[in-house]
Amino acid sequence: MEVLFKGIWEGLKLLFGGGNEIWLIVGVSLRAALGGVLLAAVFGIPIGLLLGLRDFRGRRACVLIVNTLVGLPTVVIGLLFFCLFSNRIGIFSGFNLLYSVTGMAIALGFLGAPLVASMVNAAVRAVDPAVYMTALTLGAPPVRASMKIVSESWYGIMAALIIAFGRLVSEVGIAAMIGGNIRWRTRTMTTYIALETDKGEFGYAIALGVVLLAVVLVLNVGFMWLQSRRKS
Amino acid sequence: MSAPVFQLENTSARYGKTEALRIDSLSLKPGRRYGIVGANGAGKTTLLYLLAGLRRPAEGSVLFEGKDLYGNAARLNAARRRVTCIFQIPVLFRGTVFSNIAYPLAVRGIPSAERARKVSRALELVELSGFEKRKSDSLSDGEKQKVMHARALVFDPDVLLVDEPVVNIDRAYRPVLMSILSGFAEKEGRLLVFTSHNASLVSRYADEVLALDSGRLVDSYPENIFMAEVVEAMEGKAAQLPGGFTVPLPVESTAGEKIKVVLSPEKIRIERTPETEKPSGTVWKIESAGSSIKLSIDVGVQLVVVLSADEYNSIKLLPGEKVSVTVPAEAVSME
Repeated sequence: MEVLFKGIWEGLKLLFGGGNEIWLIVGVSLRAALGGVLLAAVFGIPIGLLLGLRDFRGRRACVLIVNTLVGLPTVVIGLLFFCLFSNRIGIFSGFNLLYSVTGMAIALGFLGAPLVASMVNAAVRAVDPAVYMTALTLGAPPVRASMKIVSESWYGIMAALIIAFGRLVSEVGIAAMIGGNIRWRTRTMTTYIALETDKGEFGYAIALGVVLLAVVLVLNVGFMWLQSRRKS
Repeated sequence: MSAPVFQLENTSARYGKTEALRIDSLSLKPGRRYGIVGANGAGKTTLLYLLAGLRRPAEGSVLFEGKDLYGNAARLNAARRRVTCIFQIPVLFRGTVFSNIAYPLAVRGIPSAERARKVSRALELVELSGFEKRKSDSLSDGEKQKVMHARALVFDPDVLLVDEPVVNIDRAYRPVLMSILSGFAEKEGRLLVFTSHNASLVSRYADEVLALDSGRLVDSYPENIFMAEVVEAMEGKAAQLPGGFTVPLPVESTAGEKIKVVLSPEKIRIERTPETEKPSGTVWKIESAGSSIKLSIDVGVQLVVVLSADEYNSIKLLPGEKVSVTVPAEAVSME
């Protein structure tokens, strides 16, 4: 327990007087996670809307695949993108994505997209189908009526993005394999916590753990605020 | 003679393998008010959905102004801009009452100043003036239903389809709403189609009654069949009809039990109510039925009473007159 309290104290000292490295690490984590969420949104939202709004042959199989991909181990995704970006065997080797924040964001986007798609599908399906019928019967063309369902499930879509961000910012396998935990360049909060814990340096590890928790806390507070604003 | 707005020929609708509706032939003409009556599952709502362009028929066609409504997407979308349907269950979008009622106007690209004016007028029509900023989820079911009516009427559709128009509406407002809907069809070329379980409501407000039974149009809706609740009365147990009118029970039943009663129109007795007594009903329709006279009497529900010509001549009732209705036990049977 004493080690823990000492760690927290050291962590706070490092955070608010320990130089630039901690904040650089926080910045790299946020950039990678935000980039990942952006990509997850670009691919996941349309897929989720397609699955949620349209009843086509094979839809159930698609939902099954998407839901299965949600549980894909992050190290498998890390391995896949390592191969794709690798200078030796990768088809994207020319883009210098390995050991870069952009590379991490792409791989994290691949991790987040099924999660976003799955949650958006569920959010859209939860909207009363009568909303779509009502919009149609009020003269809206089908695309506009579909947009009404999207606006009705706006909360669920926002929740999907926030949860995806929480998942990506706390991810460690992809960050380590694609980012490589390179100091001053691709070191993220999670890879650094793992590294410092291995070294027995709990101060930095706890400091970054606190930041990580704070980020997730701020997100949730923001979401709750949005929710209360919408309700009022 | 104006051309029909809708024509259905050998049209059927299915839910999975179950056939919910089969109509051999039906024409709905402009300027008319059609009331569809039938029990639960008779196909009333399915018929409305077919007409509203919301359910493609399994077989046959739905012609809208002579062209196949479901022929192509452009025609279907164009028809949906002129035909609107008000559902039985209140469905309002998230947001304010204003945004809900303005939605069909926004879809049609009406400028915002005109939108505000039309919304205000529509709210006035349904007696909800000043409700513009209220959130849709803060309204009661009755208010939601009124907003749905305002939203459907605000863009001046050519065809109005209404599923159970008064189901969530308070009793005092029902005649107001029904006269708004009736007035809708008075403008040239308009068509109103509404459904109801309540045969008296349908008979009163419709120019033509369509009776549905198990998905098929039938010549007439069986009269004097009611779902009733067994209640304790002064003389023992009685069956209370939906409007509160009670009839004696021919067999022993448990209080609170829901039963179906059939009242024989020939065995019900009526007399002009003496001024000192409270009437139990009002005559609102008198028709000749061969050698007999058929009277429709509002006792909270529509009761049909059949009198011989001699019996009728002895009391000579006119529509609007108050009457006392006596239903003897031998007039009541249970299904």
